[in-house]
Amino acid sequence: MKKVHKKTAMVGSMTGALAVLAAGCGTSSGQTSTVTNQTAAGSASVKMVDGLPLPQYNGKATLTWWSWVPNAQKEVDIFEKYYPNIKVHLVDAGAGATEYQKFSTVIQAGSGIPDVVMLEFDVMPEYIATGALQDISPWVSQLKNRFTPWTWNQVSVGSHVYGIPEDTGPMGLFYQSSLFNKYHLKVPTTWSQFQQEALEFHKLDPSQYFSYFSNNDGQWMFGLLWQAGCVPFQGSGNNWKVDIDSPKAVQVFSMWQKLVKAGAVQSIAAGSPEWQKNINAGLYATAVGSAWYDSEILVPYDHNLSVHKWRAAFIPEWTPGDTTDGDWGGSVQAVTKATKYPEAAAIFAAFINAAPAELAHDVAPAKDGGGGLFPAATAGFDIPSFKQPNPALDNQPANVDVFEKESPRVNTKFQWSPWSSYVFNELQTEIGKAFSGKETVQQALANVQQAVVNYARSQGYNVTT
Amino acid sequence: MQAARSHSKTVSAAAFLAPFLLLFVAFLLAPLLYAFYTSLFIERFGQPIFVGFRNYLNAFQDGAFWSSVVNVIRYAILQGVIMIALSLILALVLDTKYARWKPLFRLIYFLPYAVPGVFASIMWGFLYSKPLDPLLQAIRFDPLSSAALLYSIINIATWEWAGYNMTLYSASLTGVSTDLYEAAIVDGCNEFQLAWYIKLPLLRPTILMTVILSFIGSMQLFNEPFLLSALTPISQTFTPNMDIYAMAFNLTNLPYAATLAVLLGAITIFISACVMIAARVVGRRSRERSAPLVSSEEVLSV
Repeated sequence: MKKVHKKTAMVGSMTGALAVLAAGCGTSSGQTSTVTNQTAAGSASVKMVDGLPLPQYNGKATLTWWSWVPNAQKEVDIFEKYYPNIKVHLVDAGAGATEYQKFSTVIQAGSGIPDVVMLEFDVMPEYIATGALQDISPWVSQLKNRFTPWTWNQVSVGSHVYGIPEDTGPMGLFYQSSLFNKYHLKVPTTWSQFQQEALEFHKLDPSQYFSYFSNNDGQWMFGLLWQAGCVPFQGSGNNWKVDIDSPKAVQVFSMWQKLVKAGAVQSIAAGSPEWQKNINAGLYATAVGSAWYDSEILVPYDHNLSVHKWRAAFIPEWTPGDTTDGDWGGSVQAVTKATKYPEAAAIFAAFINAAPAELAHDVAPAKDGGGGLFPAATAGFDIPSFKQPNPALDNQPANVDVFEKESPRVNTKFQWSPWSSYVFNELQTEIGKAFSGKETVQQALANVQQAVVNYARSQGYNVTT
Repeated sequence: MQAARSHSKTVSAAAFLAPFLLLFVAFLLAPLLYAFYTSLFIERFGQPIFVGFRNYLNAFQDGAFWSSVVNVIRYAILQGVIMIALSLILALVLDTKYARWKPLFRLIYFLPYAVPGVFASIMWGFLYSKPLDPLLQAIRFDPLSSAALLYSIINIATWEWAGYNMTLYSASLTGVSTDLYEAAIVDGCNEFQLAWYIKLPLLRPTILMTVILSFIGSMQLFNEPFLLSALTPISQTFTPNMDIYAMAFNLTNLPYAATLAVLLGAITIFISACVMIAARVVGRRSRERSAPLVSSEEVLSV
């Protein structure tokens, strides 16, 4: 799960009346439940709970849970049926950066800290490094093989586990089949084909763009690098290797720079009113998105889906025949060090993300009262509602066609650093300069590399390059 | 007897000063000292580690921070000059005998100040948004492009603060005895000369005060770029306060945020002090060179 419009949503809520922006933070409140398996009463003594090997919990516990998943209360209701002696109090503390700021503040203050908190993968190393999270391996390490392998890597350091993966965003290429039919375009399978078609398309229809480049989203830019096979960060604890300005990374951003310069691709702030207007007008023939892109971007912003007929395809590759993918967005339910009930919190985090009764709810579309998630637990892929044709994507069963296949191709070597927000900001700033012609892509990435290394060293990390 | 009276005077003076002193210590001095103390540590795995002045050494090599400082100084000078010139012109024009409906215009010019800065930024953000504005589309100008951004923010700040400063100047001018103007008019001054040779020199202390206040405000530029960053990519290090905010709340690096905050405070105090000293020296020299009609101090003491 990912919200790209953190700030926009905030401005929207401030203005109130200006509904154009506020659209970003709406979540549907449909209550039709697709959950069927609610029969078993979780007796405290069983070791298998709804098919999951979880510890019994005899004590009483009350947990506070911060989450921005749509219809999260439903997850709590299901959980409390199986663990009636664990009560969960759900708090919506905002999405993404908004929530992280509140979380960091309560951590600093030492009070008001939730027991379980929703975090995205890219901030996990930061909170592990600051000592905010609890090692829950004693209760959940047996669940490792139930999750997409790279997700488990990103919530653990060695044998220590700090959270349960919730959802992921294997990347794919979204395209308007209406435009592709009109101009007889083939869905590109390599980036060189993408580049060539982009330039041709712009000549055929100069009023439209072949795609857009999110110049305000460092997380998305790192998704592009991840997909290209770059590994900018490697390490754990105190020792990190930083390699942001690799030749591959230069190649990735140079291609986008070239397309932006030629006018075939628009460099734009995702989430801005202009971007919203363009999405709605179908100005972009393609979009580099991920498994949740249709539910989080297309459904809320494109009100002409039946005209544009978006579909999903495999992400183009840098080397023909290659099948490397990256991830963009995806989250974790992490247990905090401050919790009084680490075991109950670990059970809750594991249960809501891996139990079949929960997964059926998690993968159902948010519009139908579900969680709208592309699950990190692989059992979620077998649920009928996950496999259904997607009305937002011209009735293409995109999860089966594309994302279920892309999920195991996500490069497992990729790691996030403990300085993600710093890195994102540096990258956005420098790429912005490069795209406006103030410096080359090579220089931009070298500057990011230098700044990140200096910052990490100033924080006492042992950094090699 | 004498001693007792002076003692009771001291007590009452202390009683009057105490509330200020308490608030001053609680909300300025104590946080300042605490920020300085915090800046001597780094935080690893939730534990503070004492590093002495190493954060300051890092800050001195932090190019992004210094370029943000240069950015706001440039902003402070440009915005300060434009706004104060505009405020002065408005105040002086309203003070001439030709001006009609003075209270109404004073109120109109003052109104933008009554709009909270956050709302003003959001409102301007929409006005600046090219896709929502047919006028901007027609002239093919994007006020939120990276080249125009600084000037767009200058425009917001000037709109918001020019009326406020004009009110300060108007207030200073109403304090001047009309005898002075009559004397000047008898001596053959026209309205322009009256403004240039008499009112402006009289306003000098007020101008100095507004220059320093506006400079301090500019150094802390935050609301406008922070809110506009929802509409256009603005670097988190566009201004020092945005940098400090991001350090503290996005990166949870409180010690380094405290370091930058202490440095920004020191730079602001240093430059403000320089401006005051320079103004005093210039004032003294110009007085020595050509004794003006009346010095401002003399008038104010009348």
